[in-house]
Amino acid sequence: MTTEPLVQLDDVRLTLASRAGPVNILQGVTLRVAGGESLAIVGPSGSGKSTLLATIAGLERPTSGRIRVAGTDLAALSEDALAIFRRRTIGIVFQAFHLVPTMTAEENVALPLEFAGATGALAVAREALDSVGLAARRQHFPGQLSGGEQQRVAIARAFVARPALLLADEPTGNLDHANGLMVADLLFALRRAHGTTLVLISHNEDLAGRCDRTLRLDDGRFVAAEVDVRVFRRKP
Amino acid sequence: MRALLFAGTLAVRDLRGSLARFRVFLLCLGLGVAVIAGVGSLRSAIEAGIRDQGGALLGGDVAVRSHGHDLDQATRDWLRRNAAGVSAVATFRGMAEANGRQTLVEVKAVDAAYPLYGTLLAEPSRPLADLLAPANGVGGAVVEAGVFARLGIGIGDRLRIGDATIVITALLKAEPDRATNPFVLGPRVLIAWDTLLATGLVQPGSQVMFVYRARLDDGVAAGPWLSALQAAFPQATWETTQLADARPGVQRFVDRLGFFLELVGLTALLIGGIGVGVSVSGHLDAKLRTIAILRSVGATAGQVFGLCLAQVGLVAAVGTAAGLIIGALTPATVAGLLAEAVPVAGATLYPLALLRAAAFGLLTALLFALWPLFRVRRVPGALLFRDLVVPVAAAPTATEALLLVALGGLVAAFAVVGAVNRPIAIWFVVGAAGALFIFAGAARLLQRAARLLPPLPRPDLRLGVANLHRPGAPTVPVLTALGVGLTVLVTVFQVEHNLTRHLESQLPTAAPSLYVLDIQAAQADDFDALALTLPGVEDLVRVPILRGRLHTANGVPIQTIDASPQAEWVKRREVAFSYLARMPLDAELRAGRWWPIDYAGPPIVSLDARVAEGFGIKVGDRISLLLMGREIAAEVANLRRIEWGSFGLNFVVIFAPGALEAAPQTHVASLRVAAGTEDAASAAITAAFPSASVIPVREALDTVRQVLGRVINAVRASAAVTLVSGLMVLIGAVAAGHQRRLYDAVVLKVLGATRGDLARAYVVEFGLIGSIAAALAGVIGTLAARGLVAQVSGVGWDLEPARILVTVATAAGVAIAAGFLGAWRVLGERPAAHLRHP
Repeated sequence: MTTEPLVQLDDVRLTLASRAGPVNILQGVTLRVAGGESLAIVGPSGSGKSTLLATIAGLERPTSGRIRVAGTDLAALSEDALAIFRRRTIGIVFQAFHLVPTMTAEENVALPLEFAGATGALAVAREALDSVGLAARRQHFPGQLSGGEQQRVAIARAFVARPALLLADEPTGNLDHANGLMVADLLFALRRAHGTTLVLISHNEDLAGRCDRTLRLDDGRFVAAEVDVRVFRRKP
Repeated sequence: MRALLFAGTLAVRDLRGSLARFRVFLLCLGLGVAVIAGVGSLRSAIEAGIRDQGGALLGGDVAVRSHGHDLDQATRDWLRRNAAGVSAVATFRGMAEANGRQTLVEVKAVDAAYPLYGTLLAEPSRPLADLLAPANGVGGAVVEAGVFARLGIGIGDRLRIGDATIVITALLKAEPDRATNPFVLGPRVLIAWDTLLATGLVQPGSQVMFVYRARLDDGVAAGPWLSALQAAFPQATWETTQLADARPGVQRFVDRLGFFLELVGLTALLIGGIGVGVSVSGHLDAKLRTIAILRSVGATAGQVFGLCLAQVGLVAAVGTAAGLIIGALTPATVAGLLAEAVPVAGATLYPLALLRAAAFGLLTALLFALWPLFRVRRVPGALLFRDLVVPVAAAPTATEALLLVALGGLVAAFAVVGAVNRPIAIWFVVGAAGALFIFAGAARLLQRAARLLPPLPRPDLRLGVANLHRPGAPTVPVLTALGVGLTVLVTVFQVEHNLTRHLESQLPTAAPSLYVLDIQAAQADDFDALALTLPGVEDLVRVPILRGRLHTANGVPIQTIDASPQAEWVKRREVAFSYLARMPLDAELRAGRWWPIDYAGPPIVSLDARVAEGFGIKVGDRISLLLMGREIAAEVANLRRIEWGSFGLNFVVIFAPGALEAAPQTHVASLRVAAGTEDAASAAITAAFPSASVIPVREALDTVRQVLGRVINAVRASAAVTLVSGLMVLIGAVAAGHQRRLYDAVVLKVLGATRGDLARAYVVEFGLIGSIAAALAGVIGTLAARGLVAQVSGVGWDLEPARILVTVATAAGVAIAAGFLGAWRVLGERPAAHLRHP
């Protein structure tokens, strides 16, 4: 008996129009990520990593190809259905944190639960903030938090609804080494604790190395089916 | 100079690409300036039109009018001897009858010299003398199209007026001296002087106005000429008019209406100013980084301020110029629409009106732009090195505040100085400042309440509330602009409601159904006998009417007394007066006592209290009147306050019985008949008394309503402009906050918010702003309307809550929809594009 992978992409292509003509961002990406697995995607800037993450999150629709996440074909979902699907299934952590500036840390974390209509969302959010070491900052607005703190709030928010899949786009890219390390530890600890599947984009070799598997994306396609983590580590 | 040039060059260079941010600035300012320039230009064009065509309007260089009787031979001879040309015209209201149908018509009999000035247009186009000349003993008539419609006849058909049978020879297209009085009750019928005599309607005391127009020899001034005429006939009761003072009623009316429209325009500009402030704020927010860069490369605070001021000045100049162009084109555009009512001069620029509008526009733009501009002086170069943009202190320094107050005072003074009615202009300025203060205060309270509110249980509600108070939220300008716009709308609707209600409310119980004019004195008893037996008749009042001039008060000629504006008209015109035993029902005694029914003593009179007060006449004083050249003196027995709006028969001067019975007079009557019997009663009276004219009150009121309707539409249209300005500020503010709103929406969508969730947040945000603005506008607008109604018209006040509610609810709904539409495109945005790495 074979189990269906949590994330399944088949020949996904994405072409965007630009003034200079169409730009092929994803050129036939095929990918399987098993439930509970952690995958790092590496590659040079502009190779399409973030776009690939956005298509997995249903934030970007591919020009062709098929994407199934947790058994759901994303192409079949309307925009609002995608939003509802996301709040149940996917958590996202961005390089630029993307917190709502007019809401407190606690309110930001509670948002996915509240959109899902869960009761006691704020109490759960408080626990989540506690788990990232920010219990004391829960009433602070994003503008009053440091970069590292903002990213920890974002991680708490991503995990609060216990998503099956966590997408992280350069989660330590805007942070200094110490803060980056703290955020990475937190991310992997929570992933382990909740058994969450992780797809991570990073330029940081150490961070990528903490994943079970690494794939390299170049010019919108995976250049090697599998990159051995150890091989990747040896690169300068 | 070099510094100025540099600032200008830099301003233009920096403006490229950011013009879109000034759209609301341009629209708001342009609209306000357009209204003020348009109203001002139109007023000037009408003034010029009346001046240019004054000769034609007045019918001559000077005019001599007499009510009820023709000028005597001596006066006519004097006129002919001393003028280059004289033309006689007689006008009255009469009943025309044909095909068994009747209608009230405005008859004008003209002599062969008519018209002295201007051209009469008829169809077919033949000489007027030919058209009016009798053929086979039947006089001709040139009539307005209304006659055809009302009597079902056409050219070549006959109609009867009084004893005369008249044949219609042409359709009247344009009349050079058409009365500029908009309250015309029937279509015009133009006949020859001889035909007038054949009608038999010119009887002593009948309601005929005889006007002799004279064309003076070149170089002869009207003033001395009229003085000579008056010196030759010191006892004459006729009134004279010359071109210089021929400011017809319509001009005064246009002045007043223009004044109110200008106030509405100023309000639009005031709201536009708020839009200017919002635009400038938005522009500067977007430019903070640029400004910081300029500061870090060595620009002084003053240089940066100068640069931004130059940019605002450029945009303000463009917006003002656009408004001026629209305003300048207004007279030419609406001339066609107004041609029937008033003469509007052709395509000319009215520099004074345009200058005034331009000054208002530029001063207002500067006033509202300076507040945010002052902030620029406090932007440090260090801003670049901060991770977070710390808001730059917004409060102006004491000097800056003083400058703003001075500038505001200048705009206010400018509004008051040029106003037709200064007290109202001052009230307007105070009211506008008060309204700004109240709405801005309410907006700040709303922000504070939103901040203090415990977290709401739902994120959509929370987002909506947070949008009200987050840093840079446009709650204050939007609520203020919307509130002021809505206040004007509520004010206009309430004033309109009260004026129309005043007209309507008189009707069902008090107002008569028919007036009957020109009942000959000898027929008075016969008339009563007939009228009381008419089917459906419920009430009959018949009184004698005479016309004359108030001559002296306590021996002092009326003309030399400095009268109040309300009483001034008595100097210029003849007054209608009567003699009665009982006091009219629609009057209220203010001083003195009414005389006994069987009074038989020396002549005493009752005076209209307003006129008496205007001339300083008290009970016990002696006055005299001139009646057909005879002076009649009397003692003032009492003063009455007359309720003119009741449509009852009332007079400025009423004599006690005994003094006037023998004087030439006619009678007027008012009848109240059962609904549906007006036509039958009218027909029976006209058949029995061909010389009498029957005026159906309903028709007269319809005419009044039509005129009022046009005025109301003009005011409504300009009131709508203020609301449009308010909505533009709202849309502009929403547009200015687009990036911030977009970011929120994108993040929330990523977190699973549906479009419905976001839409609900916007409904909360705009709903709170819209409904608070609407509720306050309902209260302030109602108070303003109450003050205006009391001040201007003196009619009673009636609150109409349902209409206020509908007005504000609709407007608030429109505001919510407008804000929502502005934010709508955010809902459709796809998040991915906005989440890519910066």
